[in-house]
Amino acid sequence: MESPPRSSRRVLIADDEAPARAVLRELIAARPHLELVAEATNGLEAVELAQARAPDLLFLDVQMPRLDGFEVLELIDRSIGVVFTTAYDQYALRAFEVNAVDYLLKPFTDARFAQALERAEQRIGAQRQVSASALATAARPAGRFAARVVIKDGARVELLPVADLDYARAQGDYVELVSGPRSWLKEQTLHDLEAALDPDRFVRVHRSYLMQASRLVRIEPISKDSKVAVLTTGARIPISVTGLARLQSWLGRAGR
Amino acid sequence: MHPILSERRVLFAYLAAWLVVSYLPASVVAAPGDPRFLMALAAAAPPTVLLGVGVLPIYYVCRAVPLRSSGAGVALRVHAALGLASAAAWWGLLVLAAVLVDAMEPVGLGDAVQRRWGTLLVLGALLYLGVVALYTVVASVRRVRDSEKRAAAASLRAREAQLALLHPHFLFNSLNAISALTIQEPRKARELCALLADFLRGSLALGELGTVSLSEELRLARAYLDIERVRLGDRLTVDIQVSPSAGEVRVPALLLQPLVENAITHGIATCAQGGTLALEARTTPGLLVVTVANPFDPHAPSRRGSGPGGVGLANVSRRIAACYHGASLTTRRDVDRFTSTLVLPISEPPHRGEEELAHGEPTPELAQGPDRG
Repeated sequence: MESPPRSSRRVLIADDEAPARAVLRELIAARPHLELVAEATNGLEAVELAQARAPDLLFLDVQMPRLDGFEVLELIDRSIGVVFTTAYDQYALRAFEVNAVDYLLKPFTDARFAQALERAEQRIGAQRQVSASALATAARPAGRFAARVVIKDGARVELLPVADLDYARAQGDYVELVSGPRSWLKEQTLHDLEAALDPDRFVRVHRSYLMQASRLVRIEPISKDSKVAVLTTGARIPISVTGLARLQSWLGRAGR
Repeated sequence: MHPILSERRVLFAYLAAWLVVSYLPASVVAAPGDPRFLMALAAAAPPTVLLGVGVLPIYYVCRAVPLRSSGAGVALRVHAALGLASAAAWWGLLVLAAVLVDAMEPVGLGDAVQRRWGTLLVLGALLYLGVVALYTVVASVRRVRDSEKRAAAASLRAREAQLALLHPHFLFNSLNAISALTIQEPRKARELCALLADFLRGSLALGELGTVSLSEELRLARAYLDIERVRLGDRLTVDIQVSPSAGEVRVPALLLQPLVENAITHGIATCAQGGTLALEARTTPGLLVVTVANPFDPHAPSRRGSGPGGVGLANVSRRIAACYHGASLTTRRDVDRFTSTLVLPISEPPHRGEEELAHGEPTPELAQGPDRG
């Protein structure tokens, strides 16, 4: 059967297991319109190569050293079409299904690969339905939260343990993450960040502010109906009326 | 738990029984038809109930020095001494009570008690022996029930261990590795099929058995590591050191496997550069010591579960608790290095609950099929 000519695609493979890369390499080599531009053996390498080699398509393993597949997805250009590959991860699979994310279950047949490839190619350039961090949240078992926030600082990848995050502020399409004297901008909504973090530790004190509740030193009134939270670092962040109620309920819980 | 003190109802029934028992000393002193009998009963009741209370701790003595064929001498001497002492004390109290009753109404009870000292001492000793018999039965029934419970727990843990080996992530990745090798390296693919079959067969066959020698257990670990080496390539190096005496020690089947899998899944597989899994088994007098050490990435993504440690190690801890007294599993987490140390007593064979299954079975070969019926 003659298929219509397809525009050529640059492909990146990210998987820490050599045999898994070999399967993909072979299937890619059998398709003339695909060009394998690089292979990454861990998550960090995947992010670097996704930037350096500008692929159109990425086959992305979920479990890898350094960064997992979801963290990689948060850090790469959104125009890259992504097909997740995994041997077994029930929570990830459910998240893929619900959010119409393309994936391949290892091991897979040529036909399944072709199917996933075709769907992914159709979606190249289209906006993903779900943000990368919301997908990562959906792929976590209930009650488990992110242990760190991944940030891209120029070409560098920064891993900020959530224990070090003082507060986050919404800045348009970005959040500003503040840890002591340092701060970073990350392309993420405050809502998605809040969903990834443990609600027992982080409280949304204001429409634009999310703070690590244990950092609170005191609440100071500014005017008749506005207050600020003073943090252990000395930072002062505004508290809204609903934010104050949330903070008080946090303080009330567990008798704090 | 003391069989009588643990429940208030039982304690009341026990004391009531001793009250009834005071009929015996009373009838020794005065015949039931005798008008003095009721007074003798009133005098005998308090010392007899006190004797009942006094012998309560004998339960712990019965448990500590059980009447077994071996060491029966110690138990007999202990009980002879305690029996005589409690009979004498009881008799003394009876004399005291009788004298008090005489003081209220002189009917000569005190004299009667002192005159019948021989009968009363024998009666006291017999009462003591009755108590010892009761406690010995209770303690041995409890011992049997406990060991049944432990045996049931041990075989449950063994079954859990067998199931835990079939990690879907490992199986599907291994299948994927085989599918990768089929075109480029068909011979290696066939080899990997055989390794995987060996591993699966080995875990099924060993799981059926109660105990295996450490070297059999290690053969399974080697099959597993060979498969992981295909998947992880250069990232995995293995260093296994087993002293000859350690290889012969019998251990519960599949006990070691979770330690090895943990070292890979939460350890070396998380390291981009990989590392060495070092397994060492040696014996010290009376003990088998197995250590598994591996590097891990402290900054690894958390998708692989709770970092080093986890379900597999918890299962090992529960199993050794069910199979041994005085075995331990300790883990140590340095900056980027994880070590688990398993210490098992050698003199004590692993618990019967697991051994019974293996009764009369020949030592299985790892590659041998589980088709033994």
